[in-house]
Amino acid sequence: MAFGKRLQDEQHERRFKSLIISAAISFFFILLLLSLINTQVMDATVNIRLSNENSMRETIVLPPRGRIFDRNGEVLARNRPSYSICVLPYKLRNREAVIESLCKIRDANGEAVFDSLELTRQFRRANSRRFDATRIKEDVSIEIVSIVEEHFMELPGIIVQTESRREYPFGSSAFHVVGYMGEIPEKEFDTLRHQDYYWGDMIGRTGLERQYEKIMRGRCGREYLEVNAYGKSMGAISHISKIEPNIGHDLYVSLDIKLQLAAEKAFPDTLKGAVIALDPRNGEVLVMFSNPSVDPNIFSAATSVRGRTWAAVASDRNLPLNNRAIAGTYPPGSTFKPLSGIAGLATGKITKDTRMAVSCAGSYRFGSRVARCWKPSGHGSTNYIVANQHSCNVFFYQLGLRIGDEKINHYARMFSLGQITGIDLPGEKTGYLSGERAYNERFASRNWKWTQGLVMDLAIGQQQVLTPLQLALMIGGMGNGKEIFRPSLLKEERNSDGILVSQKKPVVRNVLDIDQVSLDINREAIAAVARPGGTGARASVPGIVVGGKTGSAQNPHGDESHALFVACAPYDDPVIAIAVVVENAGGGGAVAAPIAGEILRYFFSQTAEGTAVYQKYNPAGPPKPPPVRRPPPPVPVVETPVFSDW
Amino acid sequence: MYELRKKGHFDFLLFASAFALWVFGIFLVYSATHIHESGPLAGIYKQQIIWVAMALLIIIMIISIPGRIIFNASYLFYGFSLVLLAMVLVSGIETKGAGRWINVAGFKIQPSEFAKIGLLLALSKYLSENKVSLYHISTFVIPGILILVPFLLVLKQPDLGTALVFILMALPMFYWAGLTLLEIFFIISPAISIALAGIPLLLSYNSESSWGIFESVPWGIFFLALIAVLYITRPPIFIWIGSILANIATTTVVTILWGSVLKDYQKMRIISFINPQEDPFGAGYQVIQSKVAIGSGHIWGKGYLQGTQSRLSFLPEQHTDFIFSVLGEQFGLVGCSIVILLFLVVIVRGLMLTHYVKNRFINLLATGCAAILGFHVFVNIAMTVGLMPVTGLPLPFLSYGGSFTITVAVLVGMLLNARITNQDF
Repeated sequence: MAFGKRLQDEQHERRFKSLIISAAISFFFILLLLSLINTQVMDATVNIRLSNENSMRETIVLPPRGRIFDRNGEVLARNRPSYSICVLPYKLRNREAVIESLCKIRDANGEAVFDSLELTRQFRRANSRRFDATRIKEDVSIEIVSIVEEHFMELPGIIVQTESRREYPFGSSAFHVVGYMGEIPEKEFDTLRHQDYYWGDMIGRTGLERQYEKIMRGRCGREYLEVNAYGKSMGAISHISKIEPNIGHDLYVSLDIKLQLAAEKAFPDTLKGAVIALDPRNGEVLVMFSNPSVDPNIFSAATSVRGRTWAAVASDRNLPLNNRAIAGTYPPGSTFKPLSGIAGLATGKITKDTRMAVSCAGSYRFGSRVARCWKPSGHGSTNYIVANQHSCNVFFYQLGLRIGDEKINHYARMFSLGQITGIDLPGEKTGYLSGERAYNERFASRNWKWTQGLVMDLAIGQQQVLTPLQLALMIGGMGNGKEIFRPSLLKEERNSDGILVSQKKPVVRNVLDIDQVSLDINREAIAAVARPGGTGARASVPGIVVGGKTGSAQNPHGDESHALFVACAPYDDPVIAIAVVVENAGGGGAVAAPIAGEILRYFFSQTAEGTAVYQKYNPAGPPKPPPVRRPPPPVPVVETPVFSDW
Repeated sequence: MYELRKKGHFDFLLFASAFALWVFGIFLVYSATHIHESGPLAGIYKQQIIWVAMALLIIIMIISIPGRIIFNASYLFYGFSLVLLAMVLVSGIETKGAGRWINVAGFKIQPSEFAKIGLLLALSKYLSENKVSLYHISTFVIPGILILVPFLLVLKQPDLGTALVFILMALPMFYWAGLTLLEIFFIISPAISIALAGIPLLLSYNSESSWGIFESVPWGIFFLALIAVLYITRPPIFIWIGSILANIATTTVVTILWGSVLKDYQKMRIISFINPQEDPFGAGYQVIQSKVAIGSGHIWGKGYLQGTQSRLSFLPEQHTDFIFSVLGEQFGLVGCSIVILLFLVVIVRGLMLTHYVKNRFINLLATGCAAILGFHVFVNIAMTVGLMPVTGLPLPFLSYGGSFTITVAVLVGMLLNARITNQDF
């Protein structure tokens, strides 16, 4: 041995020691193996699930929402693509770095797209739903989308989602019919989350958008994408097929947007009120206009834009969101008089020639009360037709006393007044018919009691409050004489290929149980109104006999009275019934009747249905173009606001 | 055994196992990085092929030099590796907060890897000439210095994982050099004390109910056992006093540190270091993803290149420290078991040298090699399955990396060399 110092170990010692060391190492390796068995066999299911969740993202594919078309195929609501930047909080690794990177993004004008404070707040909010994508910037331009997509690696947890947004070509003109879309309110989400809705989804909030939400929404599809740790999609997963979305169905509604635009044009911009026109033969609503209105496109804009405009809309004291055609309740005023008349005729309390005991000398004395007629000089002794034509209060006071509140209300209900009509729009108001029982109930807290004298007010329409829709149904029913159809907007539901899915049949709402003679007398009475000399002469249409009634409803708030006009044309077999209400505008004949007249003239000269009817009545003459609208004269001529239409 | 000794000039089984692991490693590195079409990780497997080729060259080189030269050059190599380590502190390249690399002729090398070999050689040489015994504490002075210098240099980088390698590789060598198992028990008993005193503190930190006095029960039992062992074995009095004092001192320090010195955030940091589940988006992220990857491999794995965790970048450091997760996900329990078995073959075959090699230097070398490899394998795999904290020790043969591949090649080469040059010095 060259190295004397070097020690030699005995073989048995070497064997023992190497065995001990091998055993120690083997022991630790067996520990590893046990741990692997635990992870790969015992916990395999959990780990496989976690691995799938990790790499798989279920994407909810929102189907394109169904569109809305008017009766002539004009688009009232459609979709446009829109891109949102979203955050998947559980993928976020370094929040500050991501925020910093996002804040560097600038739009075409060189302005920062994101705000770091805002992002911090949004990220914190998003954290409560860590596995859901939460929108941090919506409706961004395609340029910004491409910037974000280029920098995916620096932005773990940030993804881009495409969605479609609602677009309303006619803007505010059809707002109250079509409605608008909004994010699901938090309190509604708790129930909707089980019905295929997801946080941040848009949902119809009013109008047709809300009414037919289910039809237009369709069913969400699901796409399973493989994503890497940065949230970037790596393509579809081959073994899990995607679930195709069911595209929402299109609505074809009865509205005639051209007629609606004509109504909007005829209606004074600055005044509040509503116009509704429908077809008494089937209840189809042709025009539903409420002023002031809102452009529903602002609700589809990005939240920041929406927030600003929404605040203005929500705090507007004129309540532009209110659909006054179905949710505005107004005293019908004199427009109720034909209803009193038909109640009198049908119950036999009056006939065509009946004249009242007291002829009109400007007022009527009942007990200690002196009730005025709107015309101080009086109308003299009149029959029903003349009384209606000139809207003589004194005649109707006495008529009301003759019939009594119960009978009047019986016929009012027959004409669908004071009830939910059942139109396919949300938010319809009932109105109020008054009468002894209803009055005592309503004012029980104030201890007011019904008195006989109030029947006089009831007969001239100053007790009730009704919606314009109800008034349109009433006047249509008077012309039609047989039945009143439930008003409706939806005509057809078609799928995205245009194939008819379902069609709405007219539904009879009320059958008019009134004898023919009474109906005819009443028709004559309403036709007289729109004739020269009648209070509603300005609603006349050359070549077509219009039946109508003006009204100037005293406003309980003491402002100027509401101008009302109801009309149907042709008066004995109407194809259109109209109700016009202009709030605080004065006399119905001066303000409301001209609006109705313009709509009617447009209808009979410009629309297919109207011209067909016009030609039936006037085989020779082609329909004339509508006259240019003149602004209403500043001072009402026919009815003075000083003595309103009592 | 006799026949093996007769014809065993080249340990083919050991070499085959090592080579199989290396080839497997190349495939795993490819699998872990093939999604990168550009960037620093693109085509990295080619680099690993070059490393493995170099490793084979190094093995041939080492086989062909006489063992005597290795023996003679031991201290030289040790000194050289210390110089490299010192260079790290002067001109190290920092990566992720720790400076571990230096630039040598355009290559980025990791001196701490070569220091493992340096220490192995130096210790083997020293211990082959000197016995050590706890009862003669002076015998520990020189080996202690040999260990402490690289230990402190690496700890300064800081790289606790590698620093611990220096201490733990020495333990089996000390055992070989004359320490009894009992003495080893005395040496490691303070470490066991720290663990037994610390773990209940960690566990009770986040739980609702306070453990109260029961926090000290595990340590108390151990301490009584220690006293019993001392009483039965009757070692010299300074060992009595030394081990009792050391155990009480470490426990007291741990308790005081935890009770009144450490702030809450520091405690949280320690807890997430020990138990990554406490902090799933910070330090724990890697380990959780790694466990998910391995666990989702199930028995047979998802198939080569089919691992979603690794393919979709959920695993950080998946081509280096977490390469085992890639293996576990794609080849399942079966693949993991085979690889662990191959590791065991390499290590045990290395140790089996000692059965018929009388040369003490070579025996110590083999023991040290086995310890280094075994420690790396255990700590790395235990880390990927969440048994141990993340330390940054790579997995021999499989992990990507030049310095470490060459270190492993040197170890394997020396084991093979020992068989060939057997007793010629």
